[in-house]
Amino acid sequence: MLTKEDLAKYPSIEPAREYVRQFNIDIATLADEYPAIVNRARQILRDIIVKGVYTYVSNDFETEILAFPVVRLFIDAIGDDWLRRRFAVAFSKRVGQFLQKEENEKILEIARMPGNVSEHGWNLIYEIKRVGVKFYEWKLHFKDYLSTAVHFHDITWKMCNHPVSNGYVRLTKRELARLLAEAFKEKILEKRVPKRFIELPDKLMRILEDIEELIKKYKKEVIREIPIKAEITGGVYPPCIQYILERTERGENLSHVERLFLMFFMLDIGKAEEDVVNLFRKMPDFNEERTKYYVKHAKSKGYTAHNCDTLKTYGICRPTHKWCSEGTIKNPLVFYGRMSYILHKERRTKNEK
Amino acid sequence: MKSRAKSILLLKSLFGAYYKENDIPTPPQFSKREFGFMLWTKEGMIRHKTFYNRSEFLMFLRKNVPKNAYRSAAYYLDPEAQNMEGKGWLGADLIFDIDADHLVTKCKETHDKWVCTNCGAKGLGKRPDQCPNCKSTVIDEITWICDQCLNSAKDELFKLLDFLFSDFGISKEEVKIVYSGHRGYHIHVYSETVRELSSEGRREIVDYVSGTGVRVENLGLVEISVGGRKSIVGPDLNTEGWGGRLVKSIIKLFSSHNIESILRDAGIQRNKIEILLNNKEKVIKALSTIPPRWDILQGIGISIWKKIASVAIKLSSAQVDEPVSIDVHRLIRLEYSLHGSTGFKVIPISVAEIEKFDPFKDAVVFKGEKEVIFRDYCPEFRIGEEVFGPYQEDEKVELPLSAVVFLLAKNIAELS
Ligand SMILES: [Zn+2]
Ligand SMILES: [Zn+2]
Repeated sequence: MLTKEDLAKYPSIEPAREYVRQFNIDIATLADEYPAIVNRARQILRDIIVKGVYTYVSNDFETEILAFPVVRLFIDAIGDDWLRRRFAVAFSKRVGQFLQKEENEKILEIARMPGNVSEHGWNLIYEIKRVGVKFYEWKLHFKDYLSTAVHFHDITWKMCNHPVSNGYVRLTKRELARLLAEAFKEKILEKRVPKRFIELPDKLMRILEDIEELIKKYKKEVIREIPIKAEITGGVYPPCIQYILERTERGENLSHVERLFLMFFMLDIGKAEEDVVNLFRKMPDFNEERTKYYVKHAKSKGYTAHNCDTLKTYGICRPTHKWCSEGTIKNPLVFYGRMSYILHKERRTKNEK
Repeated sequence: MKSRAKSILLLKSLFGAYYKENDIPTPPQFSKREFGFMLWTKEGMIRHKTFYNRSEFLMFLRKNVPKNAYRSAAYYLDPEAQNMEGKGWLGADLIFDIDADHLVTKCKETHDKWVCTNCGAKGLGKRPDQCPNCKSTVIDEITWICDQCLNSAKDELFKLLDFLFSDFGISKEEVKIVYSGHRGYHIHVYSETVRELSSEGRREIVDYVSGTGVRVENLGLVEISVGGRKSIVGPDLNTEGWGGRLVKSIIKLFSSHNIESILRDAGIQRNKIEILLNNKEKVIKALSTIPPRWDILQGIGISIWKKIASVAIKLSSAQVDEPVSIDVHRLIRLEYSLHGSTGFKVIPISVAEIEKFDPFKDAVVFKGEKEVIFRDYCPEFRIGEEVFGPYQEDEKVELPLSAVVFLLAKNIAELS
């Protein structure tokens, strides 16, 4: 059985939504009737924007549960894509931390229940199995595994690197928590309300303007809107890097391997450390200190961009250019070198004419 | 009348008779499928076709007598819509394509041919990227089929079926094997569990069966240190998924005749190969026990095992054509239709029958005899129990109709 505390920890699940419905809250009177909840929602949003963290107050479960839909209401009304992603990633990280320590019974109940992580709920079974030095506690049907794991472009998440039998994929407790957290995130991002459909009463409108102001300030100071657009359309990058850059530009969350690849590649072609850090400013979970550390470390170690073969197994390769599909290059850096040469020559002949 | 035109006329009338005399079954849930056809006289494909009932479907085949017929693996709300957005995708069966075209076989060197369309130079084997004579890149290819090609496709098929049944838990009833009518097999998986898989999910399944991205550390093959002493632990015969498959494959490898050349190709040093060859039985026994003893041989450390493992993974992977599986809108050959390049029937085979299935006999449709004249050298081929050829250019021969259809469809002979 899920308790009120569980609903506070996982306020996006179906029983939490049911709990909220019982209050029959009207948006028109929300600010007057529940000031504490509106305040808490505002605080959550501030923390998401400034720290990239979905905070938790453990002494008032009811407020935590009720604040969640209010947070979502504001996010839908603001309609800012960067904020939506930053919220989803922060919430998913919090869920993941709770799930790491969660009782198995509760994990089962949450994962299997329709509507929480997928429309029909996951086909998940608790079963302990030791393989070599690894200790698996869970098995999940491959259909549910694939619906989520394909978002991780990391070789350890490839299904072939897990024990698979009779339709089920074995997972450690840690892996399951990570996978569930990702499914929570996808579920949040799947619903989208067009901005103009939400009309807020004056009091909420003022809070909304406050938050919008904060977003603007944060974007100006931290994201700094670095112009990489012109380069993106220049056609000098291999399609794999191009695709990552376009997603970076839209503020989409990159996987760990994609981040490393982008970082190594840009350092390889001689970009300054600061310029490489700037590429990551739009990431929903951007942290300046950590990114600087990573870039510095990569540079000092002289890490170099992955080979095409490796990128293929990570699902990062996008062979839309004929050099790639014909397999005449083995590393994206070769693409870059060749293309820069051609573009440079073209420019020169044009200038001569 | 030109001889090619005469041949096409005969092919079309024979195909027509086939479609008239047989009540071609409709594919499962046919009203939600998109159909596509290629005709004898027109270039290009008619797509976005749909049928509301069986008689309409039969009538179309009998009236148009297609050279090649296809249908979607996907289910659509409105299969007739001209673009994918309008069709309303509801899901798709999971399809695998195993084609000898993509497999390396020795026989291809003896029976595949190419002709440069620019200068007429020709040769045997795989088509070169560039004509050795005139450097033109426009080169025609005439692919042939033989028992060896089709048997190597069958080998891949059996490996794939093992993945589907034991790893993915798909039941025999959910799998349909279809002979493509040419150089391979299509495997259709009709299961609720795969119907809504995304293209990325399907790619992950292809990577699984082809062993792409397998990392042996993740299968449990690692060096550990216990109380300062190093030892190697790893999966056993019963380990689920790729772990157990790896052990089985290594055992099989150590029982095979050409183990020495395999180990050499794997880049293992000469002195280490010697140790391995002298202890074949010992390795087989050590890996067959539970728990297995991966550190049975002095001097064979984790790095050697990793090299052996990467060969073993390749040997037990199933080679399937990736684009066919991951394209959720793709058209596949219509079962029971005739293949325009062979005249063979695209025929479904149950899992129980596949071992005995003989495409040169079981997919043959036509009876009777006709005389043909060869336009070109024709390698040996077999129809039913009978082996024909080889024939020389301009040779005139009377042959059974099924052989004639095959040769006319292949465009290597004409009616005399
Ligand atoms: Zn030529
Ligand atoms: Zn052959």
